[in-house]
Amino acid sequence: MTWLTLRQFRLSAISVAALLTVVAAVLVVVGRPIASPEPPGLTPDYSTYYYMAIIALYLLPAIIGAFWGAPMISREVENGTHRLVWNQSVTRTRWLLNKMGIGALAAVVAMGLLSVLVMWWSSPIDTIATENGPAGLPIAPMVFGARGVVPLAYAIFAFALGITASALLRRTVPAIAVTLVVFTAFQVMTLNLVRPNLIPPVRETHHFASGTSLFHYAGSESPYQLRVPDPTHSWVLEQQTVDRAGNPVQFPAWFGGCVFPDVSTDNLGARRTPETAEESVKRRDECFDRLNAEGYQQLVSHHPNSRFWALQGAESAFYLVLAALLAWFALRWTRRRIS
Amino acid sequence: MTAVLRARGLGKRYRQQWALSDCALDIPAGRVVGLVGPNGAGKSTLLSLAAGMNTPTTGEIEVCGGKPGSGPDQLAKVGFVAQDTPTYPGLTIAEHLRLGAALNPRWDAALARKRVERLGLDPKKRAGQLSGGQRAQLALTIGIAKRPELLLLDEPVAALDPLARRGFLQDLMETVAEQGVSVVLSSHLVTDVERVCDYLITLVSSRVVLAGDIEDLLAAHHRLTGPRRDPATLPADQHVITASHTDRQTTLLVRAESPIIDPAWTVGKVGLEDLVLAYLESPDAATPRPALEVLR
Repeated sequence: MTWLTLRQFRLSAISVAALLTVVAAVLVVVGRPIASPEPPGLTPDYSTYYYMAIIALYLLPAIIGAFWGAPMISREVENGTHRLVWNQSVTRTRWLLNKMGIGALAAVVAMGLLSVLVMWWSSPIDTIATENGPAGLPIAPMVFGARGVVPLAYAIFAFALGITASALLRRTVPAIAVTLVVFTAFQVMTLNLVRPNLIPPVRETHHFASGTSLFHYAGSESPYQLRVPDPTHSWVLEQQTVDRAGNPVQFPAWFGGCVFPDVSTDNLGARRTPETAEESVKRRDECFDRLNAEGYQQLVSHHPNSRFWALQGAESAFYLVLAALLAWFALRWTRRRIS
Repeated sequence: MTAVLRARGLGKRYRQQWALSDCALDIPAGRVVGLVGPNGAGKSTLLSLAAGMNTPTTGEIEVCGGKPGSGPDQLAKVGFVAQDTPTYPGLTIAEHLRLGAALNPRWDAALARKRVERLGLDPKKRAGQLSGGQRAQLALTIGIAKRPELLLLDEPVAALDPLARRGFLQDLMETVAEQGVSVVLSSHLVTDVERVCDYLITLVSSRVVLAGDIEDLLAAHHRLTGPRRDPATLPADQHVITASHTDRQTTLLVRAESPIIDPAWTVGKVGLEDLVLAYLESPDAATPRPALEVLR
């Protein structure tokens, strides 16, 4: 059985190997980047390759799912060869398990090679990464999915997803399309809904202080938002103003007028003398003091960078469990529903 | 007499459509069975069920003493050459034989090699480059070298030209004689069946209407010609399959357990093709009633 699996897998494996060789050749020829913590930190050229390497790591799982997983059963059904191969003395369950096992192993190897290659190339940048550049922290959403072990889990998941689509649809092109769409949608969904909550985020409450707290537009439109400085070396999920009881609230109504009073006219509409810088600072201090006195606080939830490996482990486990469920379903469906 | 295939109340429904219904069969071992019927009568469905590619909706089927497709041992007992004789276009003939060797514990490598040699096929040639007849031969080679107890062939010659058709059937006959394997072969042409089979099953509209040893079937059916007469006046043991009348004359095709002694009739023999056609035309063939068990 293994002989047949390898023989049928040969072309797909060579294609991906060629792709990896090209990526490796480009990165080696370009050479590891020279990066310094001081501005400008990274030349635009290196920056381009850095982001392309990250994109390559996101693309390979999709390629594995679409071109290794999705044709696996559908191509046999389209050619009618499932009726040849499933009528030898090997059950279809064993046939599919063998193909899944070898494919998953190859996916891990391919993904591992690319991952190690990119991490080797990017390490000069990764070591000087901060929240303000020149590159993202490992915990930052975009970098996180292209570092550590999660790319391997993505590849296994995409592969299992491709096989499931293949068994359900029994046609190769739709199976490839569905695999790509579902995989992409799933990655976006996981990033926004699952990853923040895999481990409960750190939740801290901060008092406001006129020196550091900000009161500004969220984006270009009102309403205004109160913010405290983001924790350093962290993936910040949310900042929310809360009242004394801890309920999420808007800033109090008086606050806007306190910080930004109409200073040009007094209550009777007469012109005022402009306040001095000292007066202005004093007034702002009083506004924030009143805010603290009324019990308003800022709740910040975030994942510090030190949680990188914990989150990597949790997310990998999440993807692998889903991959196992998909594989189980595909096996069952293939055994019962395809003729 | 041991049954190589036994079915009771067997039925298969695809969505709303019954592809096979209420099928009862006992196919004895060591025979070459022809399965005939018009397109869509359920031939492929019956073979699929026997191979274990499908699971029945109702009833049960037992092949070589086991449930079809139930495990590697059962799969090893049954060879199945599916319709359009599928092969891997990208694999060579030699690789197909290697596939057979890798996936079948009872694989007869010498037999496979000899067959390929005898057919004059180049082992290095890819299956995608073969003609329809050669591909059918390759698929048959894999089915035979697997050394099954029962070989199921679904319309193996449907896509072949008359010469290739005869060659394929001839070769099948020789191999079957050497191996002593039971065969069920489906076709929509009675002539194919007549050439190679000694047992006949006729399916019409998802039902078995006729099943039995071909010689016995032919012996039990008669063409009666005589003066015009109402078929209802025939003795009880003579069952009318088809009747046609002119002003003066009546021609009947009847199944009779005992010899026809009525001197009014001129008794003629019925050919296999006419017999099958009579059952296909017969209006009651499609009505729900037990299959005719001509033989006991």
